Amino acid sequence: MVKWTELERSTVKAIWEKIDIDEIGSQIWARVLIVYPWTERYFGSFGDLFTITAILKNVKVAAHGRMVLKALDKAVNNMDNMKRTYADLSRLHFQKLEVDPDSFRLLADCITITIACKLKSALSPQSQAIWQKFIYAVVDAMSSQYR
Amino acid sequence: MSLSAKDKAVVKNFWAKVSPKSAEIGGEALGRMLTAYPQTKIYFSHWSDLSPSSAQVKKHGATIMAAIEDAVSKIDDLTGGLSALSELHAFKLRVDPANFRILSHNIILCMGMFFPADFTPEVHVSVDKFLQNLALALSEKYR
Repeated sequence: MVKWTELERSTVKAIWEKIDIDEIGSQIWARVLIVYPWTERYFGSFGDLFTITAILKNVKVAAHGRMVLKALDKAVNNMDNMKRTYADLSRLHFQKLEVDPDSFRLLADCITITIACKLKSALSPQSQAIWQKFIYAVVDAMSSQYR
Repeated sequence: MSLSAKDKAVVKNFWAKVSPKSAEIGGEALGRMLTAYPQTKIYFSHWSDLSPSSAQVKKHGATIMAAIEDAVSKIDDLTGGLSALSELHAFKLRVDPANFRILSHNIILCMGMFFPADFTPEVHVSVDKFLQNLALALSEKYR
C-alpha cells in the first residue's frame, strides 16, 4: 500500500480542485490519440479518427476523456485504497477491453503534461513530483489485475 | 518512428518560437527531473545543490537545451551530428539511456508550461518523436 504524507494528500487535492474535469477531460483523450496513435486500436467504434482535425472534433473522444477524468476522482478520494477501488476497472480493462497496461502510463504522462499546460508555474517542481507519485499509483492500481 | 518531413518542419518552427526561453526551459526541466525522479540525482552527486533553484542545475539545463537546439539544426542526420555527445554519454558519463526518456518527458512538460497555446497535440507528437530520435542517436555508441 502506498503511504501518503499530509502534504502529499493536500497537494493532490489542491491540484484536483483546480482542474475543470469537463474542459481538461475533453482535451486529454484527443492528445493521447494524436501523440500515441496506436491507442486508436481500442476505439474502432468512435468513428472518424483519421486526421488530427477529426480527432479534435470527435464528440465521442471528448466524452470518453471526461468519463475517464471523472473516474480519477475516485482515486483522489480513496488514496489509501487505490488497488481495491480500481480492482473491477482493472479486471475490465484486462479481460474484456484487452488494453495494454503501458497505455495507462502514456495516459498518466499526458494528464500531467495537460495539467502543467493549464497551471503553468503554479505547478511547482515539488507539486509535480507529488502529482506524479499519485498518478503512477493509479497506473499501478489499474495494472494490478493483469495476471 | 522516424521523422517525416512534416515532423521536421513542425519541430524547426516550434523551436524558433521557444528559442528565446530555451535556457530557462532547460533549467526548469532539469530541476523538475531531479525533483520528480530522485533516482536521476545519482549522476549529479558532485554538485552541492540539486534543488530546482540551484545555479548549477539552471546552468546545466541551459547547456542541455543548447545542445538540443544544435540537434534541431542537424535534424537530417542526428546520429552523425550527435556522435561526439554519444561517445561522451556512453564512455565517460555512462548514463543509463532509460533516463533520456525521463528528461524528455520533463522538457515536453516545460515546453507546454511556457508555451501552452503553441504546444498543440500536433506539435506535441512531432516534438516527442524528435526527442525520441535524439535519444536513440545519443545511445548509438553504447554497444
